[in-house]
Amino acid sequence: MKTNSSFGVWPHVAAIIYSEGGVFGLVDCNSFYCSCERLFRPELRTRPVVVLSNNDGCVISRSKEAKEFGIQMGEPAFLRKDFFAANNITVFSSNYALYGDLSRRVMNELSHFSPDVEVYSIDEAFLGFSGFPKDTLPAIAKRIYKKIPKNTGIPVSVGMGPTKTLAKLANHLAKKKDEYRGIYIIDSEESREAALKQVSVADIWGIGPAYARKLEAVGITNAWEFAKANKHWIRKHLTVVGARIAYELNSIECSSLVTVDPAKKTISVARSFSSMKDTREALEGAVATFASAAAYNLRKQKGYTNLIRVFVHTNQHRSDLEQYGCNTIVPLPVQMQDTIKIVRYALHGLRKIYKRGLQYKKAGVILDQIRLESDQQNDLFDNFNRDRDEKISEAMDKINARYGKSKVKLAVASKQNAWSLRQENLSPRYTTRWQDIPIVLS
Amino acid sequence: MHFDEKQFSKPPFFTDRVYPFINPVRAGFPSPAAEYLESVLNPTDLLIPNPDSTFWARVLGNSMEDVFVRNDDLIIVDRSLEPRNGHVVVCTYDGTFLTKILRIEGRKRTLVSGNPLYPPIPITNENEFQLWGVASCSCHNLLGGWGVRSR
Repeated sequence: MKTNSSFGVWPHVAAIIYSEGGVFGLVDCNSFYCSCERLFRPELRTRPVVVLSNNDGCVISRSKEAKEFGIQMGEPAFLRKDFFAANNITVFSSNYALYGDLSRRVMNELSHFSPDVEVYSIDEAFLGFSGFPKDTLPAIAKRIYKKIPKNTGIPVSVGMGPTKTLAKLANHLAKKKDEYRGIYIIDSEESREAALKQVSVADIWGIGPAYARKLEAVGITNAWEFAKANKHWIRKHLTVVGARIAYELNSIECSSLVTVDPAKKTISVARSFSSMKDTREALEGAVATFASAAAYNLRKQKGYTNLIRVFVHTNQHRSDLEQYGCNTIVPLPVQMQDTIKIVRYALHGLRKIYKRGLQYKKAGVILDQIRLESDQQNDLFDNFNRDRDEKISEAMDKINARYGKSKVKLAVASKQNAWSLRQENLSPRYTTRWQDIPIVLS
Repeated sequence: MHFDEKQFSKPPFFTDRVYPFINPVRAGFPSPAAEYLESVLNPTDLLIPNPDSTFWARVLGNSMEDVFVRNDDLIIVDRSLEPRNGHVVVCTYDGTFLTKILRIEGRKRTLVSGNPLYPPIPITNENEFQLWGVASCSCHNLLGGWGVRSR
């Protein structure tokens, strides 16, 4: 495909780059879950480490050394079990109590560097630097790069650029290429061009595998070529999403920081079971547990749900067993947020889709169409004892907050063998439990 | 014995009727202390000035007794502090956590114990060593019955 000359499609761009406008930083923790585990296991500092997903299903974090062994993101753990043992690769089950606490520390520390912090995920945050003099940015990046690992124990890489997409791209380079020593700043036309030319289209933030294939098919292989490509072509083939990315790569800001936590529109809790379940009682226990957890999260964000989805499915990896998967939507007569009613409707949904005689591997509950409290409207024919149910949930939350998660729960959620996580290699909760704090020899 | 369950679970005053009370009505003198109320003392304000860089650890061993870090004590480790000569530090030494006194003489660094029974450990390139944090505080349980050292 023929591309236009440098600023052919956006002649006004050259004028606005690097003058006014914001500067964004993206700070990303390196192999975050592995780094959390290593902080309290100094002997693993230079050894390969992997962390597995909930239920020890697949690899979700790899240390640099583990990546060098060719272990891929998302690989099923059971296929690699012997490989891990043979190569002395340390395996951890995910310890979200630990990761959550260290993430909170990193984010708090980041707020010392900028008043605008968007916590983008558990291990990365966008920082806004608008109004900061441009020549102070390298020093700020260096301070972040040094201070976060020192104070929290978690190594980070820092990318900066005039848009979020460029900051993300800069961070990608800072992390991938050793010569940048963890920092890449796009603050000039030269540094932007150099950065874009080093990043393949598949590695651009927001370009999925499908878009990457489309672009590669017409000979666009790196971010520089993509940024220069005809915008009408991009809009036609990659929709407005692709066009926005192209604009952002050309330093035209299309997305700003989201510094307040937006309330979620859906809340989903789903798990694979450590062993397959065939009885309705066992599935009820699991679905009730998931629905309770979802209802708790719903109340935390002061939301009300209008719709509950429930799904179950069998183990797709077991071709020797009969396969089944089904989901159902339970529309609610009135908005709800309390555990008792949400569990009741979720179980109602489960009974509709449950089929006897099958081996179930996974179930889940999704609360949908969540609205804020302020939209709450009572139904004239609402015959629930709303006050009573909400007070019960409130009391449950208070007791659980004080005496530990799930100390009080509905009886249906505690049915024998309801569900349990497989966590064979769970590390101690070093920072959140007194009995788990590290031992120091003297 | 027979009793009416409802009567027990519901005091007669709290019926479903709504009472037209809007606010409690105060009578008498206001408390003269009300204006001087302060929040209670919170020890973490004093002990943990940097919560995001502070970690707790438990001590195992008696090599630091002279500097009030004893076996089974809890120590507060602040990673944000800059380790200086004479600080009690937590370090990693060949893959284990150690707490020692950091001695800096020019470019030479030594880990010194707070107990004459233990010789100093020179920090060389031969061993894996990293400073992990500065121990800012030691918490000793006085109820343990070890008020006077036996030595």
